[in-house]
Amino acid sequence: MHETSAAAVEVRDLTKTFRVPVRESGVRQAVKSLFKREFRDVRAVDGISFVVDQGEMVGFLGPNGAGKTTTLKMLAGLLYPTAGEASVLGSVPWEREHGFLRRIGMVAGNRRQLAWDVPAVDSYETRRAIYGIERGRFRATLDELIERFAIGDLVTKPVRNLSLGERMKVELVGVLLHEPQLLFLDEPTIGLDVSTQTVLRDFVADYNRRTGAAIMLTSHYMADIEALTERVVVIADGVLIHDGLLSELTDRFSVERRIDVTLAEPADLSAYGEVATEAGPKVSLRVARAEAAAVTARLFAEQAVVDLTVEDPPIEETIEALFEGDARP
Amino acid sequence: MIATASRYLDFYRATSALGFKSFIHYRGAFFLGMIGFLGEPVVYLVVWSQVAEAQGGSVGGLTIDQVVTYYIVWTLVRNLTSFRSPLSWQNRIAEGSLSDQLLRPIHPLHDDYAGDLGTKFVIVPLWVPIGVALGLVFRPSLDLSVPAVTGFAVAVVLAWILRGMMFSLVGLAAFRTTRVSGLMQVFLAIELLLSGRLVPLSFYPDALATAAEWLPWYRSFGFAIEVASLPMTGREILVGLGASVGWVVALIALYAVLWRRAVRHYSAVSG
Amino acid sequence: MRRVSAGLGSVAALVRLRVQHELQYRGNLFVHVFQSLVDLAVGLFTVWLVYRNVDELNGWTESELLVVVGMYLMLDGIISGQLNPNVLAFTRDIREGTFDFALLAPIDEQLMIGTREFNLWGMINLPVGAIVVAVAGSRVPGVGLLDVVYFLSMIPVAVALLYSFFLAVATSAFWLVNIDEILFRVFQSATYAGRWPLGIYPRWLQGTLTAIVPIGLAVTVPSAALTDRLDRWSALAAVGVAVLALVGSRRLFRRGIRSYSGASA
Repeated sequence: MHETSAAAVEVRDLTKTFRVPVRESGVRQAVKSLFKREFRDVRAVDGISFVVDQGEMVGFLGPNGAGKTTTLKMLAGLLYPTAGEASVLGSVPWEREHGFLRRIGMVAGNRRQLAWDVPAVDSYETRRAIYGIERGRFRATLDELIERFAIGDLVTKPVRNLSLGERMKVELVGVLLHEPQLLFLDEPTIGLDVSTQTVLRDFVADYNRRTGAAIMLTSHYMADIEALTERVVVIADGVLIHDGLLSELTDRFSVERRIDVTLAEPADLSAYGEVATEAGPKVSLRVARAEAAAVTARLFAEQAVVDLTVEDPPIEETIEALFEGDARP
Repeated sequence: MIATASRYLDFYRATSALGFKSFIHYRGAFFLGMIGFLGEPVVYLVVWSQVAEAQGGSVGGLTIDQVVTYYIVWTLVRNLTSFRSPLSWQNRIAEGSLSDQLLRPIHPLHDDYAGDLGTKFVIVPLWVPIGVALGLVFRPSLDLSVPAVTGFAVAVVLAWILRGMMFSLVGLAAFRTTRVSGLMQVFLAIELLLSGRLVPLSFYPDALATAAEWLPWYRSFGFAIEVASLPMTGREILVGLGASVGWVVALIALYAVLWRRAVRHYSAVSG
Repeated sequence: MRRVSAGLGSVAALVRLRVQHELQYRGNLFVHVFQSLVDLAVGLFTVWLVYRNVDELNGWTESELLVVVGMYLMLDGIISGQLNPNVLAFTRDIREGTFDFALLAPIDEQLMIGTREFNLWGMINLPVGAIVVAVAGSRVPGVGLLDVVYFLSMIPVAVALLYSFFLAVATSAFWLVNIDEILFRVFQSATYAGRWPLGIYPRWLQGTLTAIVPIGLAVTVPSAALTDRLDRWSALAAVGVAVLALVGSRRLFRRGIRSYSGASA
């Protein structure tokens, strides 16, 4: 019997460095490479630390190549870290104990686990055997999942005949059959249309609500993160640069605020800030964060203001600016 | 005329360089493969040497020395006459890359030949240590006279071109059927028996041996080996090379006719 | 105990999955039957060519050599039907990065990769070879029931040797990533040596065919058992080698898994 802490995942100073061969172009280089191979070190994950509680849903956000997938793979036991520690559901993930593997599940948007040429139900039966799920319980779980997500007609067709969206639904159900306590989702909505994305997010949220399983999700779609998680971890260049609520992200990193003013009469407001849009008496201004309050006060004092709102720019813009290095703290 | 020739020369140079560069990345695995490939000729070599010994030193008109030499040269010629599989035509059609090739002002065959030429520049250096090792272990006796060596060089080049043409002809089947692999099976079985790959043709009953010598498979493999390993007069070598040239010309002509039909069918079916 | 039954249950389920899949593709059957007949014809033809010249090759008569041919075909059936397809699937998974599914599943990875594929029609040489062995064996003077039992008991040894070899070669895919097409031909070639009894080869080559590519041993041991050539000690040694091979290849495989997941060695 091991102690159950509130934490599902504890990560401390996790680091992963890859050695990548260097390939030059040209015939001479190609011949040279017959004799001497050169490598360089790529630090994919650089000393990351965080905690995920049981039942929590956490989103991992970051540009391509940031280290999100590598981090998830280490926590699922697929990769050994170069340095650092992690404890997932009480186990060291890369030791890959079978008991541990039975309690986690992983779905990746671009990699499939179900057999291609046979209907999903047949692959599910195989998974039942692999995960050692008792038949009665398996039947019940499967029926419920099929009904809840309305995939009854999809599971009897060979997987290769399904569209990408249908395939993802069927894959996701496959991973939920053994009722994992922790679910890793690596870019699950990639390449899917908006309605399927919504359906998948609902699946995941529903699963979390019903079973209290923790969810770790990576995505570069803001919509996924916004819809599913309150907490977001931002990783760029292998480094964790933010861990907290989504709203805090904007507070911390956005450089600008938007002031939407409706005047009594059209006027030139370019002296107050950058004019983003102008439609008659309605003007949208961009001002630096620090000056937003002052500009608002001036507008009220000097202009005939009918209506005025101050807003943060959409999160996407903040994120974009963040990754381009404009908004580093 | 000269402009066309230099254009083709340029194309071959560039494409074979590309073939070389991409193939170099596989050199490790390929070298392993080459060693693995040795299984077949070494087994033949050992078995037939044993048979020759049991019979007092020769079998099918070859001495033990000649048997050994035959199968060692076999390994070189086998590598030199390798070519892109006819199954690639099936893939090209399925993936649509054939359409891209058809858009270019150069026949796709040149692509195959030029690319393959590039790979040979990786293959030959990789073979050398293997050839040397085999030579040290089995001690063949090579005829290094000028007619034999030049005859061998020309015979091998012709063998490569010929085998490439045969493969390409089989590849044409991809335009009409998805069962190219079945056809390939038949082809390889025939080649195994009639090209001198299984045994030197002189091991066969006379009638079969003579018949096989008239067929292209022998010219695409066994003939070159025999030039290097068996005593042949200059005249015999020249006549043999003539036959090789004859087959190359004949198959190119056949291909030209069939190709036109195949492309017409392809355009009609897939647009 | 639960682990064992989960393991066996998974194997059964995975095999069932593969067979279901295979039964869909009946066209493959003809391809394999044809190849089998070609293999058989070439094998018989070669033996005929040899025995045109001699009565005995290295002490083996024609019928006895045909037993070897048959044994080779039987093992070839197992190689084509089970060992080869799984190795190819495995190397493909490594190359395409889909091997993770095997790492995520809570059963032994070796079990997962060994049951991924199953070429039902590719096993055709197994019954064909068995028939050849039966017919040729009946023509060898002095073969009795005891010889047959001895023969059958040596077959698991042969299979174990081959399995270990294929597992070891597959494991190399962890380090040499682009290996599969070449690998396929390495197998084909490596198994060539199995068409003839081990004794044919010079001493040093026999060593290679036993230690590095055990096909020669795998084919010769049961054939020798049937034709009264296998003494007790050689048989025991063969069993010992098979056990060592199984253990060694598993160790190598586990090393490969650690390397794949980036463990510092």
